[in-house]
Parts: sequence; structure tokens; C-alpha cells
Amino acid sequence: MSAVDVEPRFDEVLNAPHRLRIAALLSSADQVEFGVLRDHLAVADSVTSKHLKVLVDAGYARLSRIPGLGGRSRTWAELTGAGQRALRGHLADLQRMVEAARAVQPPGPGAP
Amino acid sequence: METNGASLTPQQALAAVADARAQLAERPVHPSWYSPARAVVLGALVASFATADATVMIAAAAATLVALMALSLAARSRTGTAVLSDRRHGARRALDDYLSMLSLFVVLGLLSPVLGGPSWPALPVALATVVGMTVSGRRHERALQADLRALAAGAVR
Repeated sequence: MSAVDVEPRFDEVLNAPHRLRIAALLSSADQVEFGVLRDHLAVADSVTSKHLKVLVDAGYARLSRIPGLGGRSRTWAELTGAGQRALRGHLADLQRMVEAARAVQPPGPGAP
Repeated sequence: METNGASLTPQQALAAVADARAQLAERPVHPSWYSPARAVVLGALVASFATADATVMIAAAAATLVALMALSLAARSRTGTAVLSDRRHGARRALDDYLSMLSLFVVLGLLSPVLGGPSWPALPVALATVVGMTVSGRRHERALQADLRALAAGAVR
């Protein structure tokens, strides 16, 4: 994950593993159906709803009801511009932390 | 604050993001029937031009729009994802090619009554539209999937 031209910014909302996974999925597609998100997380509908609501309340995601096959409406989620920016900043911060941890690791036993 | 899902180290979090994107990239962008079905609808539109009747052509254009919207809804309902091209790279080019080819077939269809009388060139042009738009549609799907894989690999943000 390249962090070039993105300011690292830790995001408390995206620090939750399920919400980070949802945001990652939404950042790849324009819209993702609720059932796909739930299946990916392998959790109950209520858990998926709860995390989506947190993302929506933070202004990071948007939900819409779109008619599906047979006229039954389904819930679709998409990442907002603010959500995209927050995810990029958070990923850049994670990358920065990983690189910082590598930099302070002591050299291995075979090192000169 | 977090009640569901164990907390992750930064490395694990980055791996989870890559894994989520990789899983999405392996899902079909469209169902296998989508490109051929869309091409048949477009071929029918081009065939309608053979009539050289404005009323028929307008009705065909309206029916085509409705059919394309229905196909799009059915396709996204089937896959559970909607992936467009506007923010992507190779897929953007493939979509441009698709639209250029469609424009060419539309022009040929409109010219067919002028070129060869009322109907004979329209059928081959309509058939060429179905074949060409199916091939071009499949190419666009492959380009979209390649872009999603590149995103999962971190090459594109």
C-alpha cells in the first residue's frame, strides 16, 4: 500500500477491525450490497448493521435501497469522499507505524 | 469502544485490508450473461434503424434504455457489487473503446437504409453489433477485474 501524497492520520472509527474491512471493500467497488459485506465479515446482520451505522454516522459511508431481482429492495453501501480520505490517511498511518517498528527492531543474531 | 472483532496490529490491519480487496477482486464483475445480453439489446436497437422510421427508432431507443437499466439492476443484484470505470485506469480505456465501437455501429446502422435500400445491410450490421459489443464488453470486464487486482496489490489506490 503506497502512502505517497497522503498525510498519515490515525482514525479511531476505522481502527475497529470490522469497520476497516468494510471500508476496504467499499473502497474497491463503487457500491457493495449488505449481504456481501456480512458474508465477508462472517458475522450476523446486526453486527454488520451496527458497524455500517457507525461509518454512516461518521460521514464515511452512505446507504441506499435499490430494487433487486423480483422487486425486493436491497441495501447497498458506498464510501463517501470523506470516507475515502479517512481510509487513505489511516492506511498511511498504519504503514508509517509498520515502518517505524521495523526501524527500531534490533539486528538479528547473524548481523555484523 | 470496540466490541466486535479483536484489535489488530498495524501489520495485521494492513493485511486485512489487502485480503478484503483481494477477495473482492476475485468476485465476477458482472454475471457471464451480462455482456451478451447487453449486446443483443444494442443489436436490436441497430436493427431498428433499418426501418428508417423515426417513430420506430424512438420507441426502440426508449425500449433499449429500459432494457439496459433492467439488465444493469439484475447484474448488480446477482453479483452484489457495482464496479464502474470512472475512477480506474485500464478499464477507463476499455470503456472508451466500447463506446467508440458502439458509436460506429450506430452510425453504420443509421446509414444502412441509405446505403443498401430498406433492410439488407441492417441485419449484418446488427449481427456485427452483437458480436462486437460482446467481445468489447468482455474486454471491459477483464480490464475492470485487472484494475481491482492492481488495487488489491497496492499498485493503485
